[in-house]
Amino acid sequence: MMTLFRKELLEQRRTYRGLIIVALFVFFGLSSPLIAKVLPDIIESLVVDGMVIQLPEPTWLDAFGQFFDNVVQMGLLALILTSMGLVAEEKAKSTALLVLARPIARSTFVWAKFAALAVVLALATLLSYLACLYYAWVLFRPFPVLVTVEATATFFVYALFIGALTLCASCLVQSGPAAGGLAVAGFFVVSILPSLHRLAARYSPGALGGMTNRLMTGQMSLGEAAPALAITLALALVLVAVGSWAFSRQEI
Amino acid sequence: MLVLALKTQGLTKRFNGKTVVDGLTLEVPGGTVFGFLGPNGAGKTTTIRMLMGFAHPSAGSAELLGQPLGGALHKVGFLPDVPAFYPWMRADEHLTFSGELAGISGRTLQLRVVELLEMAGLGDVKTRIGGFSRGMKQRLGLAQALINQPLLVILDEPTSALDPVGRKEVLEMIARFSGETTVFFSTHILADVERVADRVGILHQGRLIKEESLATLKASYAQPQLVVEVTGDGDLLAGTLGTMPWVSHWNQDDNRFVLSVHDIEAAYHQLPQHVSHLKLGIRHLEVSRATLEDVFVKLVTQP
Repeated sequence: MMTLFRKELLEQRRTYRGLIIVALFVFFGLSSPLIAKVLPDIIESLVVDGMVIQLPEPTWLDAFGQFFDNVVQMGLLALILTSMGLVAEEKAKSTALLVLARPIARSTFVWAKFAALAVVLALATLLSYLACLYYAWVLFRPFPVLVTVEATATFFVYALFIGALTLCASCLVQSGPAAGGLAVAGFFVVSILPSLHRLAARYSPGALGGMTNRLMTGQMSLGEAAPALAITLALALVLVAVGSWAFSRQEI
Repeated sequence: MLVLALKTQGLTKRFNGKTVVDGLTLEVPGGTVFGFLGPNGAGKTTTIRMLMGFAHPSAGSAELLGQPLGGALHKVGFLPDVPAFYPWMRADEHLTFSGELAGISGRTLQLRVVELLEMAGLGDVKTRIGGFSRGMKQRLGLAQALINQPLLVILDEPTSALDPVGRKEVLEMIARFSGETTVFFSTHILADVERVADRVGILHQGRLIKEESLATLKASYAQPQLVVEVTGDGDLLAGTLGTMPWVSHWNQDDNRFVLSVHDIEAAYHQLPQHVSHLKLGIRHLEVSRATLEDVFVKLVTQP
């Protein structure tokens, strides 16, 4: 397992897949507080004579809100695009053959990829959060830091779920683009589910995207988010297990 | 030494109602270099994919090194027909990776990696595999197959995609390590089998139609041939060859004749007399060695 895990981490680095995710997340972390700060000025400068627009003074909530909006949408979409070939491309290009000709279980092959993906996501989330925290502190201090940590942890669990969804799709189909299409469709369904049903709004993985703001504004406590977090984590593990099981039964 | 390195019993694979491998029963003795011969589409690669656990048999069973499929992979080396590597790795990194997957580590692995890189002629190559030629990849593929000092090496068409130089290098590598391990390799290139194999199995339309030692196979199936080139009017000889009792069939290319004969001794003595009698001269006469190609063509074309 460790050999495959190390190989996956090295692959994330050498193929720039992991670096792209980390760089993109950090970019959102750096830019979101700045955009939140200067956006009212930009809008004001566009106002034509006679028009009156009253914009509230930007706060740290706008900075983090902007950050979570960006990573939940564009960040996770980038995650899908860079991870869709994790297993599917190994099947399509036959690189999996020389690995699986060794005494290695296919489940180990898949779980090692998930572990490496989790490390990349953790690194990307941590660094981008620290970047966002730094600029938000410089521009909007003081504010309660703990709730931003809770919101970031909630986002990380959601990102892990989307990573697991993509990995599962990659196990199920035979090409990277097909896996990407399947994962994007899954991402879309997961995202709209909370708006369709009351229970989904409270307990489904897609609900976590909206919970980050409610945690920061104090509308919700971490304890109240815990069921959705636990369910999302469990579903992530189930998705990887399902992908691993399907891959174990496939002919390659 | 193992009695049987590889054994299959009624191994069958069907795809969409088509039988690709049909009841393959095969025994490969330990220590042999076994050439698994067959035309393209005969079912060779499918057989190997089943042996390696990449495809599921529709029926039958197989054992590698006396264990059910998948049970002996730590003692097996494998090279697919077109080995696909991670292009971002270097050759030494790939060998180390393969060795670790096979359970080797530390100084033992380091020494083995150096030894195999030298054997594959890649000792000084520091570029990533993505920039390798096909021949380099094939040699690296052979090296990775040997990283765990396997008791059985399974090679799928190891030379088919190579140019003559690459082919020669790979065959030399196979010949070099064949004394240390059992080699089971598939190919449709008859010359490769003749060069390195000592036992042959011929697969045709999914069925094993012959399995023998190479020498026995040639002795049993290949008819001796006389090649003769005459001076003068070759058609005179062509018109009378049918009357020669030792000729089974013959081909004419202008004044050059290739005769398949029942009795080589009689043919070798009587043919010059017959040519002389026709007032023709002999420019060239030789008894040709029976080739595997003759055997192969005979076996796969006979009803």
